Order: sequence, then C-alpha cells, then structure tokens
Amino acid sequence: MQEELYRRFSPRMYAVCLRYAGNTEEAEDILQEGFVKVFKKLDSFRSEGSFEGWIRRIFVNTAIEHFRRKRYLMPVTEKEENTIEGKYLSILDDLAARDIMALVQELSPGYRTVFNMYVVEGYTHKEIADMLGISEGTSKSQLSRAKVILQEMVKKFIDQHRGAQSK
Amino acid sequence: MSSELKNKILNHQVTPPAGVWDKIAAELDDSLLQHQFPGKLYDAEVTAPSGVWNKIEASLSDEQTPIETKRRIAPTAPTPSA
Repeated sequence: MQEELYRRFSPRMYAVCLRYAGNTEEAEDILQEGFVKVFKKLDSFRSEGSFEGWIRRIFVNTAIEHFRRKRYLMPVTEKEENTIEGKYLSILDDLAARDIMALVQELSPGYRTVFNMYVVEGYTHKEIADMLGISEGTSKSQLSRAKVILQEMVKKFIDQHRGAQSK
Repeated sequence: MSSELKNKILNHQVTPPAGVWDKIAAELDDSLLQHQFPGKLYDAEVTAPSGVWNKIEASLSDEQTPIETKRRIAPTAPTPSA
C-alpha cells in the first residue's frame, strides 16, 4: 500500500519539493523525508479534507523544517517595495510549468518559500507568519520583493530566449 | 472664502480607519492569484528520481526493526545458609 501511495503521489509531491528547494539534491531529501512522515502519520488522517491536501501540507512543512535546519529562512530586513504588477508576470501564464519552476527555484530561499506558500499553496500572510516564525509584515514584504525579482527574471528569460531565436 | 480657510481645507488630513491598508495590500497581492501560472505550478508533476522509493523503504524498515538489546542478568546474591 505504501509503494502504491508513493507511485500515485510522488510526481506531484516531487514537483512541490522542487519548487521549495534550490536544487534537485535538496528536493530529493525533502521528498524522502516527507514520504516517511506521511507513512508514519497515516493513521492520523481524519478524512476532513482531501487526502492530497493533507499530504501536500506535510510536504510544505517538511520543506520549511528542512530550510529552518539549514538556517535559510532568516527573516530579511524589511524593505519597502513598490508593488509592481507589470506585463512580465502575465508572461508566466504562457510558459510551461517546467520553465516557471526553474525561475521560481532561482529566488532566494526566503522569497521562494513565501512566494510558493502564498501564490501557489494559498496560505494567508497570517498563516505564513505563524509557520515561518516571522511577522506578517515580513511575509508581505518578502512576497512583494519576490514579485519584483521574478519580474526581472522573466524579463531576462525573454531577452535570452529572443537572443537565442535571432541567432 | 479666505485663502487661510481654503488652505486649511486643502491641507486637512484625517487618518484612515485601521485596516484599510491591509485591504489594499491584500487586493494588490491577490492580483497575482488571477494569473494562470499558480494553478500550473500547483498541478505540476515531475517524475521522482528512481532510487528514492528504495531509500524510503529502507528508512521505514530501519525504524520498524526493534533494536536488539542484550539482556543483562542481574547477579543473584548468595542466599545465606541457614
């Protein structure tokens, strides 16, 4: 049964791990640690929500613990940023998931974690603050900064792509 | 209207109710959620590296194996002879 669950959920959970991790080695560690936890906690699943949602939460928590151990999640200095909702983020909609994931992976661990938790997993700033042990303000400013950096990365990605095509 | 009164009205400031900024910020943040890419990322699937299952299995069986401990037999004190 354990192997069956692994076969069914590992592709999705590995994608989650890759989004939170900076490289494939870290993602693999989180995947392994996460599944061991899932199998150990299986009896505590209460069928209140979806099973996949329950597994996903375990993986997000495992990724957070992993980075906390590595001291990646030190809160950054709060910095005021203009919230830019420019044209570049819309371009992400047209990219393949693989390319978007590669861009998200390039964000620094703090920005990447808040971005993933808020934008993809749908946690509120309050929940993120509680889970990461930071203030809500820090969570908001990290997200805002992540957006700005991501926009710059998308712009670079497009420029590189155009450059490659014109050669 | 005197220019002094006009200035007063022009420069009049009132602190907005608490919580307004949070609502504005939330709306700005939520504009991100209107994109399609968060959904793409949420549903993304990547095949895990081939050796991971074996490591998980090994790690689970390691923890399930009871640790063998050598039983220590307490030395029996000699019974006093009657």
